[in-house]
Amino acid sequence: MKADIAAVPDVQGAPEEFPQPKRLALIVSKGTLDQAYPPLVMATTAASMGWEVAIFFTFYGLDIVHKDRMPKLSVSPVGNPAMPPPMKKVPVHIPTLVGVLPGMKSAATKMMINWMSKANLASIPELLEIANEVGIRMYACNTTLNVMGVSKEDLIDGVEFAGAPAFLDFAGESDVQLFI
Amino acid sequence: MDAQVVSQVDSRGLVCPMPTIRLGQAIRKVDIGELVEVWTDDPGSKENMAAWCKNTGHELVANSADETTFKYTVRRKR
Repeated sequence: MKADIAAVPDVQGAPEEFPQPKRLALIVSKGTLDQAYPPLVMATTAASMGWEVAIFFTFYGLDIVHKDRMPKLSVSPVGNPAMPPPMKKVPVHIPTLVGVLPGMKSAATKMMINWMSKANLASIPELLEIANEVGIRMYACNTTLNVMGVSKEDLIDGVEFAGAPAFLDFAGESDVQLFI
Repeated sequence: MDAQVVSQVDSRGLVCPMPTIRLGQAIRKVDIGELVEVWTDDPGSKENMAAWCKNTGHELVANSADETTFKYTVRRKR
């Protein structure tokens, strides 16, 4: 790959006065592989920029911090018209009726893991490890733990427990709030 | 390596957010005033490095690029 020399910015110097760190508040409600990446990439990036970050895992999002389910996060071709064709040379998307066949979810998941690996993108376990290292606060929603039949012992280390009021308290004083 | 640069982060081959995460880890390990050099082949690094420095308060003191690699030198300010 050729670097674009014209794209290199001018040296900018340091900011005159350094403001309070910004805050990012995320609600993560999805538990599929493709929906696990965006919040973790955004959160770890924000933390690397000195932001204070809190992630509130709720409903299916709890799977991302579930010891047993996190390594098995998957993506389904069913109901997902954006899923790229499995072979670039044959530009045919997976029809829904084919997508429901046994093994298709597993194949789609392996395909996505393969893309991530080729792009040198960190895996979900690696991003969670970074999240812990850089001090991202990860909260599991108390209420949905019960709803989803998940116990506190099922969750990875570093996850705290909180409810909507605690999240709203953090979010209310945050600069960016996202529901994912 | 520049004599003033005390830490070098080779992020070539890594995509966002890893270069800035590695830079964040490296800058904490050097003293205030010392320099960290980042190597990356990420074409989005222009905006990313500027945004990172603006948000963290560290100073982008030099940059260069050759055929394959962008190099940024950042001074720890705080």
